[in-house]
Amino acid sequence: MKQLHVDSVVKHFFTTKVLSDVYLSCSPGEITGIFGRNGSGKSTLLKIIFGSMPADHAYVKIDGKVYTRRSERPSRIAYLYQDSFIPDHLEVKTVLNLMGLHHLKDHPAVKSILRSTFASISGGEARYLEILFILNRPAPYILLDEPFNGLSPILKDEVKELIRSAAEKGKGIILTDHDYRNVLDIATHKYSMRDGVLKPFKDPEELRLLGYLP
Amino acid sequence: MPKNYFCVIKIRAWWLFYGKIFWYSLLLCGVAGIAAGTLFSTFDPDTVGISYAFFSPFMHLYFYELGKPREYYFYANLGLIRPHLWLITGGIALLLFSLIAILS
Repeated sequence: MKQLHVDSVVKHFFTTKVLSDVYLSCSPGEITGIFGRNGSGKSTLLKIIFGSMPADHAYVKIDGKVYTRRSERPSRIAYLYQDSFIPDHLEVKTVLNLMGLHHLKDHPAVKSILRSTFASISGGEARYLEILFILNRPAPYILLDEPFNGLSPILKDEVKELIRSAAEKGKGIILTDHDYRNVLDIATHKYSMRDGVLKPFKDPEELRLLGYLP
Repeated sequence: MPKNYFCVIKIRAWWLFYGKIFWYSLLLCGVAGIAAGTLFSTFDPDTVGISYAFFSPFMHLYFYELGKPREYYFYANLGLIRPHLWLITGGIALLLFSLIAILS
């Protein structure tokens, strides 16, 4: 069955329990939004799914195959870190070549800055490119940690379209961001995270009851 | 895409990561070699090799763990996760150290 299935995720930082038996699934074409206060464990969960952070226990199954080795997951999952993460000294063209995204060379946002380094473009532009690149990776599942962070309203709308378009092409997307209105707008499945526990919800009013919104 | 293509990409990505460590470690080795040559009036290639084995893990620590740990996520997206990058840096240092120990 084509699905990213994450189960029994448990994570402690010393004596503090950050994730408590978390279950999450995402199918191709779905956009899963995770909401929660700072420090609730959202980013930790995404890092564990991606494989960049070890968990006390985590069961990750992708399209029917169980991935016990963390190092194997980046071939099936792409991950957008919450801050700019592409080395500043690299040219846009070099990054495109490395990520196997040659087809994006003629993209309007890329064409004019192909020979520019990431250090020489604005923070918003760099963030937009990171999102564009990650969403176009060949991986079938995409994890986006705060994709709207540092973007102008117009770029946020463009990013929302990029995310929707990637989902329509069959990618499964899990995202989290404190810009909850935009996440609510595009998410097809919604989860709230509180005290390391992940729960699905339908009515955004529940976010108020959970103490996420004032 | 063919498997070889991903292998080439991984090697290119690794060199992007390791290049900075390599050149700065080499620079420090040169300084260490000159200092040793000045102090003891002899130039010993082993000193340079051992210096490299010593400096390269420190450069890794300095540039990536203390400097820009967020860059690890870029390399992870290309299939090179943090423990693997440390294993390669440590492995090269250990290999160099062992080679010098065997040859001298």
